[in-house]
Parts: sequence; C-alpha cells; structure tokens
Amino acid sequence: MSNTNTSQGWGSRLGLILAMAGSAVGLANFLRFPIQAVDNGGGAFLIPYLVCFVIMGVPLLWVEWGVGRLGGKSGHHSTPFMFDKMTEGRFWKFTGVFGIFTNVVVIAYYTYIESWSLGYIIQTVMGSFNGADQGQVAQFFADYTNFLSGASGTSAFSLIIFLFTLFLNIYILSKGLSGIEKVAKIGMPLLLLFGAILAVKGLTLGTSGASAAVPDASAWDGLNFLWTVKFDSLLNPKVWLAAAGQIFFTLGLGWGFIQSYASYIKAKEDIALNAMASGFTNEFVEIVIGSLILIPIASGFLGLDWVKENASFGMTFQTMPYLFDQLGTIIGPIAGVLWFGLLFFAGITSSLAMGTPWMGFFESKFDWSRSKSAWSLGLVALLLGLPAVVFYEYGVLDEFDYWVGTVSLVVLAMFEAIIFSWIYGVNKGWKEITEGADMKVPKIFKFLLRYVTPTLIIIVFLGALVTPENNDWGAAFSSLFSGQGWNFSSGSIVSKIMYADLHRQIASATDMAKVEFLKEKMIFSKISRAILTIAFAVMVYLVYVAGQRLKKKNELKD
Amino acid sequence: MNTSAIITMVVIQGIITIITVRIFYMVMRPPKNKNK
Repeated sequence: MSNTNTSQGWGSRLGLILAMAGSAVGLANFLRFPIQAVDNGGGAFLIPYLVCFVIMGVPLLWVEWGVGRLGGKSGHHSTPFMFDKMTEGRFWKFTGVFGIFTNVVVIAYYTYIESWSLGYIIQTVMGSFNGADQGQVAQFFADYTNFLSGASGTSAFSLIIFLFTLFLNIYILSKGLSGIEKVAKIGMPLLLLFGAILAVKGLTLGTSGASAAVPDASAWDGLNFLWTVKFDSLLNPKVWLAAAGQIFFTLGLGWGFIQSYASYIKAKEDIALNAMASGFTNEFVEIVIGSLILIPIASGFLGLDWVKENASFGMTFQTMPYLFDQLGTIIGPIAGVLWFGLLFFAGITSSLAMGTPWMGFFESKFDWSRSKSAWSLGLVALLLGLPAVVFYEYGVLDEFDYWVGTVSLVVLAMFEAIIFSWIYGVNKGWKEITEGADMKVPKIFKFLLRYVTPTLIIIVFLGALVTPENNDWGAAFSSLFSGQGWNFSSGSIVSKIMYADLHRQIASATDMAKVEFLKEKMIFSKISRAILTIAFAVMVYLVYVAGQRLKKKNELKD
Repeated sequence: MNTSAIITMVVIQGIITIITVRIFYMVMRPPKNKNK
C-alpha cells in the first residue's frame, strides 16, 4: 500500500494513535475538566458532558480524520486546501485559514505555559517550595510570570526555560513525524504512569490532610461533589454549553491538527477505529485519571468550600506546590515532579501537534524543506510569544487565548461541519469515514452528522456570542421579552468586542494607580487584537498565493 | 464518600476503561482488510 504523502508517513498504527491521543491529552484534561465540573455543579456536569461526547465529539472526530485523510490523498496537509478540495475551489478555503492561524498563535503561548511545568519540575527538585506557606508559593508564581516588576532572577529563569521549551519543540518538529512519534511513544506511557500514581494518592488521601487551620478538610468531599449526579441541572443550558465547550477543548477539535496528522496516513487506513482509540484514550485520561487528582487533593488539604471558591487554572502553579509540600519531605517533591512532569508531557505532545499544520502547509504548498518549515514556525512563534510572555500581567496571553484558543476553534469546527455534511455531502463523507474500517460504524451517526452535530456547533457558537449575564438564559429571555433588552455576560463575545469588562472595572476603580493600570491594559488588549488581525490577514494572503501556485501547477499538468 | 457517588464513579470510570481496552484490543489485532 502506497502512502498518501510523497515524503513522509506514520511509522506504526500505535505510534499514530498515541500521537493523536497525545495531541488531544493536554492541560485541559487535568485542569480544565475538573474546574469546569466544579463550576457547573460537580456531578451534574457529567451527564451533559458524556452526551456531548457521543453526539458531538465522536462525529466530529470522524469528520476531522475523514477530512484529513481525504486531503492527504491529494497532497494537502492543512485545512485550507482540504476544504478547497471538498468544495471544489470556492472561497471556503479561506475558512480553513483558522486551521493554521489558531495553531501558530496558540503554540506561541502554549509553549510558555508548557515551560512553566518544566521550570516547576526544576524548582521542585531544587527545593524552592520546601516549607513555603500558601502565600509564598503564590508570590513565587507572580514573580515567575512578571517580567516587568517581579523578582529578576526568577523571571530570567522563566524566560530561559521558555526559550529552551520552544527550541525543543521546533527541534523535534524539524525531525518530522518520526520525531513526534518517538515523543508520543515515550511521553504517553509516562503520562499515564505519573497520572495513575497521583490518582491513587487523590483516592486514598481521605481526611489525612486536615489541619488545625482547616479541620474539616477531606478529599472525600471533593470526590462526592464531582461524582454525585444532580439531575435537576440537566435543564440548565449553561451546564450544557459548558459541557459542549469542554468536549471541544479536550478532544482537540476545531484546531486543524487532527486533519493534518490524518493527512499522513495510508489511503485505506482505518480511520473509524483509530479515531475512537485516540478519543477514548483522551476520555480515559480525563475521566478516570484527571478527575482524581486536582479536586480531591485540593479538597483534602484546603476543604471543598475553598476549592469551590478558588478553582481556577492558576491553582496548578499557585497552590499545588504548597499542597505537595504538605505530603512530607520525601513524598512531597516526588508528587510535585510527577504532577509537573505529567503536565509537561501532556503539553509537549499537544504543542508538537500544533506545529504540524504550518509545516504541512509550507512543505506541500511552497516546497519548503522540513527544517525550513520548522525553524520558520519557531521564529513566528517567538515573535508572537514574546509579547504574551513579557506583558503577561497586562493580559496579552489572556487576549490571545480568548480569541484564538477559544473562539477560533468553534468557528473552524462550525465551517468544517457545514462543509462536510452539507456542501461535500454526508453520503460521500460517510463513505470516507467507513472506508477501510475495522469496526462497524452505527448508522445513527450518519443522521447525527447530517443534522445534530452541525446544529449543535452553531448553537455553541451562538451561545458564546451572546452569553447572558450570570449565564442565566431564563432571566435573559424574560428581560428581552419584557422589553428590557439582553444583558450580556462579561465573558460573551459581544462583551469582549466592546471591552465591557474593562470599562466596568475602570468605572468602579477608586485607586488612581489601578485606573492607570486598567487603562494601560486596555491599550495592550487593543494592540493584541491588532497583532492577531495582522497575523490572520498574512495567513489569508499566503493561502491566496498558494492557491495561485496550485492553479499554475495544475494548468501546466493539463 | 457517599454510596451514590461511589457507584456513579465506578460505573462511569468502569465503562470508559472497558471501552478503551476493547478498542485497543481491536486495534492491536491483525486487520480484517487484507488490502492494507
């Protein structure tokens, strides 16, 4: 069997599945999932989450693998020309730009967050958190991420580790798919091992972490909260939207890297079963392992009430080192290294995937060498990443993350579902998914692909666009129908466009220094958006040029 | 930990684990499609 790509392909089926699973297993599995569960009523979150996995996650996984393999057959390794092929040369290829743009921007700051894990492994081994109280650990993180006014030694260390992490990613990418496969084959088993050890700790901690300050602390409370199903929350749209959003993030949908990875598989390779293998590996890591670490351990030392109030991404670096230190002088550092090691492997297998669409695009459309494609990505990631790193306290990273790491994903997935099911046609699409399959794909999924999945993604997008205040959809509709208008949440896309949250913070601030800081933050937000707009416009232009080159090549062939 | 939470956790985690193992068993056996 010939390979669909002229230059490279996956070495083994297991390597492909582990690389795909590694691309999906990321920080979201260990951090975002438990935090989303806490924010959405604990056990109440599980039912919508599992339903969304089946009716949206699984069909979209098949769509993305199908789009990728189909594109690979024609030598396309990134979404613009995969969409172009499926829509027969209409403007749709420009919607595929999101499939490169998202990855290039996110890899710029994702490697920074990934580097925190590496840096914290070193700091844990060096004993930087030994005997530190919660406030000191939080201050360490503030210094670590604050380049403008933090402790200079700590922030310099942070910058060096970031540059090293970025270099490591680019070096592995320059080795091609074989490099990625090697990292996945080493990283994924280690991640599972580290996760399993920490999950056992989370399961067995019980009340042993209680202290004089928090006498009622119990890991059981955290587990009870996560696993007690509350059926009344099933009628709350907020919980459903959060569950659908989590499925997006955790499976790596809407990024464009699944398509890129799948474009390098053999023309008759089984995509139905492979997609299930990578999808369920991700779910195993998230539900079986991810749910047993952060929340039970934090509840075991600080109590469930503290977790409910403070559950956030920042807990990972601001609180967890303190909690591990409570485990003792021997187990504490080991647990810290396992935790940050786990996050590092989860991060690097994802960031390598993010590099693939860019490389596939330049290698196949501009005939660049693998090495040139990789190092050009490194340069662009550095240029985009440095503002996010240096001006972290001004919210540049948050701004990038919202527009690219959140909104763009849903936009690409929405276009992709529409193209696959309604323009390319679900019958042809179904044939692509089931061709060469070692498993029988249930026919119900054809119906889901045609009607349910695209509609659900459109609803998710509209939900994010006009999220009402406090996520209370009932109150928002009552207000609308009684003529009082629609009150947007500060997290809605509409509010973000209008800088509503920053305006509100400036209006309510009394301290002049804080007002000045918020005004500066507003300027940085505007600059961040300008950078993103320029980056997107450049990608659109490059896709246009690549389209012209392809046209010329085809004319010469004819 | 309360009983209903334990049952929910064991059932959901058990189902996910069994399906994942079953899928990997199918992946690792020789392909039915001889053309591959």
